[in-house]
Amino acid sequence: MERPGPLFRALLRLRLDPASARQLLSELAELHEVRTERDGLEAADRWLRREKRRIAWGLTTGRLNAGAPDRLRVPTNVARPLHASGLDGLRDALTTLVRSARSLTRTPILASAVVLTVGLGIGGTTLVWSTVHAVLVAPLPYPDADRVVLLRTIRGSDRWGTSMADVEAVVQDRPAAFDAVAAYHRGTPSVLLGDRPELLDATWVTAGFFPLLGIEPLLGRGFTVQESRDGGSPVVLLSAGLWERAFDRSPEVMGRTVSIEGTPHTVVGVLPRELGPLTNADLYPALQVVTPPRKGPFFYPMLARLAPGADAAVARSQLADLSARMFPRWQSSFPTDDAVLGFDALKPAVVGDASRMLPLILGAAAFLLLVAAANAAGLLVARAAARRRELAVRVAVGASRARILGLVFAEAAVLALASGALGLVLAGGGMELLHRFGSSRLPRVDEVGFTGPVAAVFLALVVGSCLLLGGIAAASVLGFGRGRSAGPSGGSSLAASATRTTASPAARGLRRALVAVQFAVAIPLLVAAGLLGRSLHHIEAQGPGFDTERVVSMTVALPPAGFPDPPDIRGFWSELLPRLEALPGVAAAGIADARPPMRYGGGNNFVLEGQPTGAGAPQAQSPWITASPGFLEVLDVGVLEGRTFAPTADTMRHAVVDEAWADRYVADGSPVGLRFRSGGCTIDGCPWVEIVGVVESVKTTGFDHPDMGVIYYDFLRDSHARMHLHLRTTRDPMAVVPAVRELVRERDPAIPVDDVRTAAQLTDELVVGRRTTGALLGLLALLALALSAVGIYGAMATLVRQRMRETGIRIALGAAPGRALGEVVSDGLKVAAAGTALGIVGAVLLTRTLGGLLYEVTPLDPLVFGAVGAVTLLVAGVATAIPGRRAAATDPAATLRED
Amino acid sequence: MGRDRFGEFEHRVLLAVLRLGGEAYSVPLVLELEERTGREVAQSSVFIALQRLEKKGLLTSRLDDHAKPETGRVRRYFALTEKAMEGLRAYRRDLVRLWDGVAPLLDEG
Repeated sequence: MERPGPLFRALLRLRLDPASARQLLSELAELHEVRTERDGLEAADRWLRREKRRIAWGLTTGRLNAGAPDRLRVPTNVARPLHASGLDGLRDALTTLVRSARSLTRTPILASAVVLTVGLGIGGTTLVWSTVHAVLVAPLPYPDADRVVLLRTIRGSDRWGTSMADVEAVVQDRPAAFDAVAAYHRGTPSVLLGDRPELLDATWVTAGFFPLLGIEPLLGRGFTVQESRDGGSPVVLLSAGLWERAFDRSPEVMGRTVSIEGTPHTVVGVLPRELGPLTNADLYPALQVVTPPRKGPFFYPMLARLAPGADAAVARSQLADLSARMFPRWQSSFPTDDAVLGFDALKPAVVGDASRMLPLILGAAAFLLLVAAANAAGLLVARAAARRRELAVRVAVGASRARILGLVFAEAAVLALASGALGLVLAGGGMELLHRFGSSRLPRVDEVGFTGPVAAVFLALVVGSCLLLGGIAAASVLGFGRGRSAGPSGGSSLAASATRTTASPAARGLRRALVAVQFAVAIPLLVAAGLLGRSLHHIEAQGPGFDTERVVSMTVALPPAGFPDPPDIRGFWSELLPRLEALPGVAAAGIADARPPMRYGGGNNFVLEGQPTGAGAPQAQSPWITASPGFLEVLDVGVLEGRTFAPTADTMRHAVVDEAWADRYVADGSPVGLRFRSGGCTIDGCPWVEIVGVVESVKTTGFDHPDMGVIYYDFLRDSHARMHLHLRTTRDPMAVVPAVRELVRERDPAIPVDDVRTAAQLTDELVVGRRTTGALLGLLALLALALSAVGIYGAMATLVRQRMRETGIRIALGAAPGRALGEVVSDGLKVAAAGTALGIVGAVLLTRTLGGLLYEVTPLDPLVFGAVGAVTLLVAGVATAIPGRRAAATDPAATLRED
Repeated sequence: MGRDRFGEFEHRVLLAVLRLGGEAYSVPLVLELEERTGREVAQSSVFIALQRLEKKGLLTSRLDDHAKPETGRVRRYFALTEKAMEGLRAYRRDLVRLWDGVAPLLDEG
């Protein structure tokens, strides 16, 4: 049964004369009896609580006296209907929220700190989740995307692409399990649009490609089947971007001619802007399916769509049967009889490396949110401790435990809503930045947005934050009651705790636990960032294997119209090279079809003399780089044995191999003098190639793949129309580029010189993905550590403040001030150490998932673990020493005077 | 004596005292007001209104000590003065004049 408590009575006696106070209490009691009889005890108790609040309000504001205005103005519940309706509950809730918001504005720093930390966590996690969802989880934006597959050549656990021979077979003899197939081929041909040729991104496609993806041209039409056959008319579809840039969006573009590699192509249509993530080229010439001279190369990916209701196993079996039927025709150049056509899901091919990096970033963002929430909860626990008196007064005037909890959760709700609003703005801004700048780093970036699953996670984060913050603050409020002093009347222990000068052990313990949790969560982030950082350092220290300073390369593509035959092509390069070497500022010049350290896709199979491969077994394969001798000079690659290429009348073809190749394929002795046959040509009459030298290895496979060894082939024997010029200069490498362009233009203005990049830029591009991930992870980890440091500082500072009197007394009694510092620091370090130990265990379990991302670093690298542990404890030590010094500087006289 | 000597709520309290026979203490006054208006009435509002009306000379009060030994209750009874009666008559006269002919406009007949 509700009664006026001692505090309420004290308030009456304080503000009213004794007679009036006795009268009021008597009338309250009598009315309570009447209402109990009329409406029941519960209703009567509720009425009494309301009435006590009104009276307390009136007494506090001075309105409950004879001089007060006519009506006793009480917030909301005067003239309340005798029977309350549901709307009153809603009105009460809204009023409570508004009051909580006003109450928080009285502590702006604390409220801002909570909103900022939790808002950052919610915004960051929402942004990363939206990216993960768009890139990895959401189906590809094509109709029936789950039925579209990528055909592959599969041999055991090895997989590689499909060739023109496969395209011809599948198009002509399509397995019944598929209702559509298409092939494509990417390149950067020379395109003449204005008066200057350019190298543009192109994707050659067969007639079925865009219909399979459900893409209709914006203008004009797609390709006919005839145009995809051998001898079909050369036609092209333009991208919306190229149509805008080169043709001013003119509707008259249909029928215009575009010269691609010297061959005029007729424009038959323009594609829409949204083509999905599979392709993003400037133009799409028709791919003509022709019978190739040999099985390879495997540079013609194929898409296929499973027919409705088709069984995947049946489809695989039909492809295997087709492979078996094809095999005899191509056996001479591809004797591997257990390599068959199969297929994989399309999404992994589109998504690529993002499937490794993104989940890692998402995990890191979620960890940071946890740290932020724990930090914010710690602040709220401190706030609850500071509001002890206020809460005690509320209980004294009749507020129930449920009402107090309601107030606590209302505050948490206001903070969570404000954090959510901030998080929404941050996430939205992040998405905008991603759309603008992220498309070169991540696929499907234009699909990132506030979709249903993203909104659901966002709402869950806001609600979760409210529950977490409210729950922890409520736990600390309720924990106040379980203290030492419970009050003589056994009345509200919250009221009794209002007089306590230190927080209850439960509240202190909760705050310390929260700090320890922050450290525990920050540690795995720091370890992951450290491991990735070390990997990056190893990669950069190892380098590409050659001196990248003052080396520049560019791409030159000879148009077929001007250079129809191999002698024309060879003649051009042979003429150009000495003129390049003679340019001022050029120390060495060379030509090659590769650009180290970029991953070089060209390779060739070979059979060493005296080491034939078994029947049906695959031949060895190596990266195969066609190069001039000057190319190796540009890279400053040392000759270890024999020599490089030299002009010779010898009809024997020559090759130079690198050290990695020699170690891999020649067990004993020197490779110099060995011979091999290449290109799948194994019969008598196929030419031999002789190895004339061994050189130092350079990176030609990027930094994430092991060296496989390289065969360098004399370009005079095997020149291509598209080659890369490489120059080592004596000054700024970009300064010689205009002179090179002029040299080429003099020979033929239709030859484009494009894609100029220094070797340093090429190297940077290879590591930019790792650098971005490492930087992002490092930033999140440092933020987590900073939040943890702030958390432990706050907890220790509060403790020092609460113990100020006790410390003052001890110093006055002779204790050394330094001891106070030592106690605070050791207290804080115990908490940090506990969190660090837990975090190390977590890191040990979690870092094994990093395996594929690490380079010459183990997931349990002791140096990284040790450094992270030491740095964390150091930071914790410094953060606790600051309030510790304040404790040591306590003036006992001043402290005692305050009593 | 005019209507401006007491406000709306004070007017209701005076009427309630009149209905209860011209003298009452706050508990039955609260109950009477709630029954007549259908809305909860704050006991503290009645408490302070009675005090102010007494100060204005519209009510007199006496403490009932007899209640104490039996119930432990303290009751202060308030009675209307002649001034209050005149005030109530004037209030009613003004209201009747103002309401004259207006009721149909509110469809209340």
